Amino acid sequence: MMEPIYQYAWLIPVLPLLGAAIIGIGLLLFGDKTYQYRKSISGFLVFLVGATMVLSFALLWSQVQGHAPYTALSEWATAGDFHLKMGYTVDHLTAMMLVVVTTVAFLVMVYTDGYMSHDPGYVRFYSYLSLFSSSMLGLVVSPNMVQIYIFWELVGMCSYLLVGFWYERKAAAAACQKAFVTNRVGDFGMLLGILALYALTQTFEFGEMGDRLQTLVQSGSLSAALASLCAILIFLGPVAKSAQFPLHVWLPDAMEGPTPISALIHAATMVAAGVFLVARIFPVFEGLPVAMNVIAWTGAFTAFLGASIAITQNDIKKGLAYSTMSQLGYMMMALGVGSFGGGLFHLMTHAYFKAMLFLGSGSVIHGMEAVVGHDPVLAQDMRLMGGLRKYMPVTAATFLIGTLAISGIPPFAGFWSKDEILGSAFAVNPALWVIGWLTAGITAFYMFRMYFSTFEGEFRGNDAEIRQQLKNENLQKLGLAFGPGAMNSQELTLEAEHEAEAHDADHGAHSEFPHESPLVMIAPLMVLAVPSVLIGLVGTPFANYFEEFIHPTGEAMPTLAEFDWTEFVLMAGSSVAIAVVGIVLAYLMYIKRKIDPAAIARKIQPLYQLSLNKWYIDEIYHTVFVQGTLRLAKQVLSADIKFVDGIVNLTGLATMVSGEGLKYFETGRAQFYALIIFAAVLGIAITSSVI
Amino acid sequence: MDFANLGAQLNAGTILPEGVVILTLLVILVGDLIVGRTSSRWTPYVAIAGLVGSLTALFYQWDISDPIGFLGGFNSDALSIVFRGIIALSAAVTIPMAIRYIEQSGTSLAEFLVILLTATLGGMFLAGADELVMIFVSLETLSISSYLLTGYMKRDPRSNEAALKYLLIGAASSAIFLYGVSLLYGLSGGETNLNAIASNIVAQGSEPPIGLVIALVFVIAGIAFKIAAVPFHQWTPDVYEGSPTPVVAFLSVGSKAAGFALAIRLLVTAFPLVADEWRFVFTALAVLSMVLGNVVALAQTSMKRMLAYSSIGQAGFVMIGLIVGTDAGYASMVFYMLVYLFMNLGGFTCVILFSLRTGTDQISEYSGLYQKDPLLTLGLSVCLLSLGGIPPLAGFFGKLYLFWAGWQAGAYGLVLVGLVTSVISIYYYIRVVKMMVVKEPQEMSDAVKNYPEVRWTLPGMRPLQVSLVLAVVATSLAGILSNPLFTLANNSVTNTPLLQSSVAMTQDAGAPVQLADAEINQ
Repeated sequence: MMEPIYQYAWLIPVLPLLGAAIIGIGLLLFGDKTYQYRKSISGFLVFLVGATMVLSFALLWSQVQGHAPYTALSEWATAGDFHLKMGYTVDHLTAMMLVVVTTVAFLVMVYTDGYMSHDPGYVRFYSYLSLFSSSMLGLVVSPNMVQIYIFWELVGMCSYLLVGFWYERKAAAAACQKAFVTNRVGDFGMLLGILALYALTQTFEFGEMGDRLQTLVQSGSLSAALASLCAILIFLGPVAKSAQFPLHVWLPDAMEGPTPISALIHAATMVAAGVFLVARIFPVFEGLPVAMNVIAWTGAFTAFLGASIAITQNDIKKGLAYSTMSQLGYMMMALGVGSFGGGLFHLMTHAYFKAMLFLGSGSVIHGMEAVVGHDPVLAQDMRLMGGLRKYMPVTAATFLIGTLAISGIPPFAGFWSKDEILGSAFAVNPALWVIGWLTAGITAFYMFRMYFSTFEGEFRGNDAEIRQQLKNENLQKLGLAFGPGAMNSQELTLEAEHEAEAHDADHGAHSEFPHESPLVMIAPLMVLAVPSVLIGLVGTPFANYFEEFIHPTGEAMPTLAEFDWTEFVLMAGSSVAIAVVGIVLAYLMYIKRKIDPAAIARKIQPLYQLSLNKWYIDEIYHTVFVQGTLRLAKQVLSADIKFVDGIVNLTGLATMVSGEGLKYFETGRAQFYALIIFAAVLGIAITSSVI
Repeated sequence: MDFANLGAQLNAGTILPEGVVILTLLVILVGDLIVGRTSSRWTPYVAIAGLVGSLTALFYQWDISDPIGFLGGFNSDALSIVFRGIIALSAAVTIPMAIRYIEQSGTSLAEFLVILLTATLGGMFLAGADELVMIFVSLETLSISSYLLTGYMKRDPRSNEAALKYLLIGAASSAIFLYGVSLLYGLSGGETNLNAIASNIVAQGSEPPIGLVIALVFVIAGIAFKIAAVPFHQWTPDVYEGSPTPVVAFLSVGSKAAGFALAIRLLVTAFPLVADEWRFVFTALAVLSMVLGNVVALAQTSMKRMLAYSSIGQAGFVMIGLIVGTDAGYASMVFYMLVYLFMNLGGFTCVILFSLRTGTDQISEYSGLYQKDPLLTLGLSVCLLSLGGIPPLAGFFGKLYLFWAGWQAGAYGLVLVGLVTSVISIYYYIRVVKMMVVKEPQEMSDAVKNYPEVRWTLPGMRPLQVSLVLAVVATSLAGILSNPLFTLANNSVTNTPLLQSSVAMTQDAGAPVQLADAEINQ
């Protein structure tokens, strides 16, 4: 009875692709003329994504009812006994991811209509969004590694397009390149890993790959070290895509893209692709303790790193970006300690509340732009905000829900998933638990710091002094020594330019106080608030439906039956306690002002600087990789000019000269030609007779 | 004895395609005599229809059970069918481009067509000839009609000069060829059938007589003249420059294909004893052709001369397939000839079109053409890039297959020379393309500045346009969708008993052949 929806499941990635293709072609053919039909275009694309969402829900429902996993394959390429199949597969994991991706994508696309309504690139943005949704859904339904890799790259490409959407902004152009290049590093490792595993196991299928690898390792024909190396190579892909240390540097910069992108790609879907992939090929990792440890520790360290940096961020989106990184670290840690269900559960809850937080931040920025103009330096800085709850009550309420969820306060979604992760981490390695636990406290602190400085207190948006200070800081970041006596003419011009820019930007500013966003923007926020509060209840430790559903079929279920109340209360109590400590600290610092954060920062200056400068990782990469590559490139260039070009030019010269010379053998005299023929015959005859 | 019986005994059905061409030729000749000059309105289409009919007849002969006709004089095996097809097709593509050209020069079209069809006929018979007299007669049919075609522009002294030179050099090489053939006749004890010659000479003793080597060299001289291999190429630039351009197009494809067909059949059948020798001679010819053809082409200023040298170089590439003598080698030759047909004829179509509109064929005059005539620029660019072997155009796959076959068979040196010279060739092809697409208006040549308005409605222009578009489409698509051509080329080799036995022999003889047939047949 349910068969038809499975047979037509291929429509899920194809529908948005179709939409993107139609609109993309229209955009190419008619250019700006499409702009006047933008509302119908966006309506059409939203409808397509909505249709895929309905289909996804139907699939999820059918899977929950216990329908067997469904796979449809067709031959794609054959060479000898090498067969490559393409198709789609629908199982529990896929169904869950489909629903998460389509709901978030749908809501973000609705929200975009409000956020981008005045942008000249409205239509282009929608077609990119649609293309991205298609790639992401294609990735989720992929039945083998090759297809996953194809869509993986497509997703990366869409991210590049979307981060660089405002390509005329220098920072955005740089950020999309950084995202792309960083991801290439990881993808290269992943490709190597896929090929190596294929060489070892002769298959691209997930299940078979894992089984055969385990058999090989157990029979001793393959050393566990080599197998782990392959697994870690594959893991490099997720490291880059899910912004894990050391390839996390692109994610904060990617916030240069429009905010709906940050919500869709850099919070809910694409960055979760890495976690999804690890879950997908969990059978490969499962039997390799070294690889599992690498995953767990990478995750744990990333979680801590992200949280520690987020404390000092003043840009609201950057802060959320580091928090995303930190939460992704949690998910990786969960998978690393073998808690398959926990990682995916957190992926799902996080997708909803983080998408909501990002959309909320977008709403805030949208409101702030009314006051300070379209200047990201001012509109996104929390030091200019404050007291926004008065002006944007819906945004503030949903943001608060998100903040509570991410801080792990029961009964919000984040509590249940984080608790499950911390519980399984404790069971495997208490050290991991300590890191996770500490991070939970920091998370609560920085999230409430963000909430308080944005929505509570007095509105500071019209404080000219802070504005000037922010602008100066921004200039300093651009590498200028700024201060009395350090002025030179170049700075003056730069400043003049900047003033001009700011002046332009001020055109966008038209009121003294921010306003609540339109309904089309706050409606998705309200919708997302529902799962952010409730979705955690499907995975409570005493009745874990989620774990039961998501757990790989055919494997023994972990012993859920003996649910231990004391242990739960201990674990949950300690994590709630540290979260409350974080919240109280934030309250004292940013509402009551009992504790002066600046004073603390001065006291632990080195640590403060370390966090503020993101552990100097960007600087280290710049010195080691960027400048190193540049130096190498310069040396190679000089060798190329002197040596290779010399040879090439010499060859070219020799060829030209001989061409010019030989052409005089064409005298045009027939007797000479005949002579050459006879001479040639004679010559050849003699040579062949002699040989 | 009645005709039907005679026909059955001679297996006359094997030359049905040639019969169709002869019939077409007669219809045009007689029709022109009756109707007069107005016949030019329909004769070209009759000629094309006849050639298409001939191609259809060839198609139905593919799986013929008994290919030997005329008591062993003519062999209609798969190889000859493919080559006859190439020759007929090249004539069929040449006709549309000739209509306007001949009209504009004010000479009679019907006579041109008759001579062209005669040349085609000679080439087709040559491709299937299995007997010395038959070979020589069809070779001369082809040659003499080529001389006539070359001198067809009677009022143009350059055309006359070209015809005379071609005749003189052609006569000299024919003489050498005939001498070689007569030696072969003598050595085999009075046999003219190629198979009989080979078996008689083998029967005489194990050591090949010195006369056989001499005969071989003389025969090769005749073949090399036809395919314009260095050092027997010297007529090519002069003749190509002076002759009417459609004739050059036919000579560079149809006539060359006939030459290659002759080379394969004659050398493989009649000279198995001196296989190493003829491979050696052809290696020398191939290397010289590739190097000299491509290098001298760099220095040319006239488009037609450049294409003449380029065709010498291209012939050098094709010879690689002949030299390695494997299944893949022969198949890659056939494949390359098929591809070469479209890209070279397409190139010539563009050259004709340009010279019709501007009256010049100097390379420098092409600069800035893009702004005046994008279609012509596109067509010429595609064809030239394909000749240079730029992916994904057809020429790339043709070269790839040739070089791959050569590499598989261990002819590393040849393939390396081929690779290096094809890089050189890319330079002169791209130079033209670059010149055409320059952006600055001040760099535009005078000819392009005075470029007439593009009008396709003039009489004879429409066929030219059709043939241009056809060639460009074929050149662009034959690369990506090369599988049918590829299969055709492979089948033509595997279905030819003559080549199969020769491949088996080369492998038995321990020649440097490490080709795994399975790999090609996949």
